[in-house]
Amino acid sequence: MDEQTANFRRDFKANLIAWLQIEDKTPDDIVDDQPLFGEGLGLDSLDAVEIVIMLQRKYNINQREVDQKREIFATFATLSDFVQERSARQ
Amino acid sequence: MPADHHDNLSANRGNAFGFWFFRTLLRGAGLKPTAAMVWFITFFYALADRQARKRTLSYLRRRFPDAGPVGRFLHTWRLFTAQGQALVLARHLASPKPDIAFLEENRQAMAELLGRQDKGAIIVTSHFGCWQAAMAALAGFNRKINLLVQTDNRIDVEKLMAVPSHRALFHQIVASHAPGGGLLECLQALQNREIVCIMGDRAAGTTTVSADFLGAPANFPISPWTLAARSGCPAIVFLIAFRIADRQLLFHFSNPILPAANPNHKLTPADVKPEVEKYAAELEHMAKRFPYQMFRFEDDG
Repeated sequence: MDEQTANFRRDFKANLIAWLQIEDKTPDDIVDDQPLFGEGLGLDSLDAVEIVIMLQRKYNINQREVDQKREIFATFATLSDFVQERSARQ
Repeated sequence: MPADHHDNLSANRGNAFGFWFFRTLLRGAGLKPTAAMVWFITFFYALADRQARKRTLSYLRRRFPDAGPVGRFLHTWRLFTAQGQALVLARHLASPKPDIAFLEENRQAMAELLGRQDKGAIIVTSHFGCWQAAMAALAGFNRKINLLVQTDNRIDVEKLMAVPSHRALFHQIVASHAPGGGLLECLQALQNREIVCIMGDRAAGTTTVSADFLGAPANFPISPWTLAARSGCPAIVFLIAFRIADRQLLFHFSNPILPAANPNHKLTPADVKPEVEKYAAELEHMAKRFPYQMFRFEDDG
């Protein structure tokens, strides 16, 4: 992983934790390949909605882009890479 | 008697013979005699089904606080009967000429909302009255209608919902354990100007918030109200009552409700509590008017 991606992931983890108000986790606690939902990070369907809103407001990614790429919600890394790639295009 | 796995009064009720018997009776004798027959069957259940009787207590104690054991038994019997009759009515509605009058309260609120929205709208309903008849009223708005259903209800919702003549408009979104659990599909449908229909009284393991209901706190899920806040699409509480003797269905629409909170962090239960309280008030209003048509209620939501 290059340094730019590592930095982006660290910031994105911090943003995710702050938005979702996850009290018992720090960025270091989130493993990149960990599933976001269910037994991974333990997020639920309401969190998924919140992530979509966070992407709109903080990263200017509209909901339709997310709708077409539902697989990005598989792990933290897939989500982060999607956001990084979209951010780089803007 | 037909089983309804969506409410919590009769999780395991009904058998193949019962289904056949009521279907045949409905076809041969019509609505009213079939609905009358339900009284006899439900008397047996009210007497013998202790578990189902127990599940009605939290509601009946609130709605009829002064009832003694005999009174409570009679209330339970009437509750079970109305539940069975709702299923008979739903089945009857799917017939070619049901001859049922539709009375609509505050329909213009929904019509105006859809007229001025460039997005969809959320219908928050309940296991109340003949909720299976929702399509009969909502199809009139000529928008695609998405019903969020729970995965644990492995039944043919389409059959249950009396939708044959509205099939093209009807779509199910399954609340799965996959990422988004169905809510992302709901969000997408709302952006596409569609209607999303969600039960507001069934938590199914999701986050709830407490609201006053018939004089005591009760828990209700926050997901419909989170969806409304985050999509910017107002929600309308939609409840369906019935009067078999008058062959009437009453469709009650609330005024649009849009949560005020829309913060730059995850919505908390407290953020949407005012809207949940409005929902509970609508439900209470209808429970007072139609006390035996409340088919799902648990203190723990």
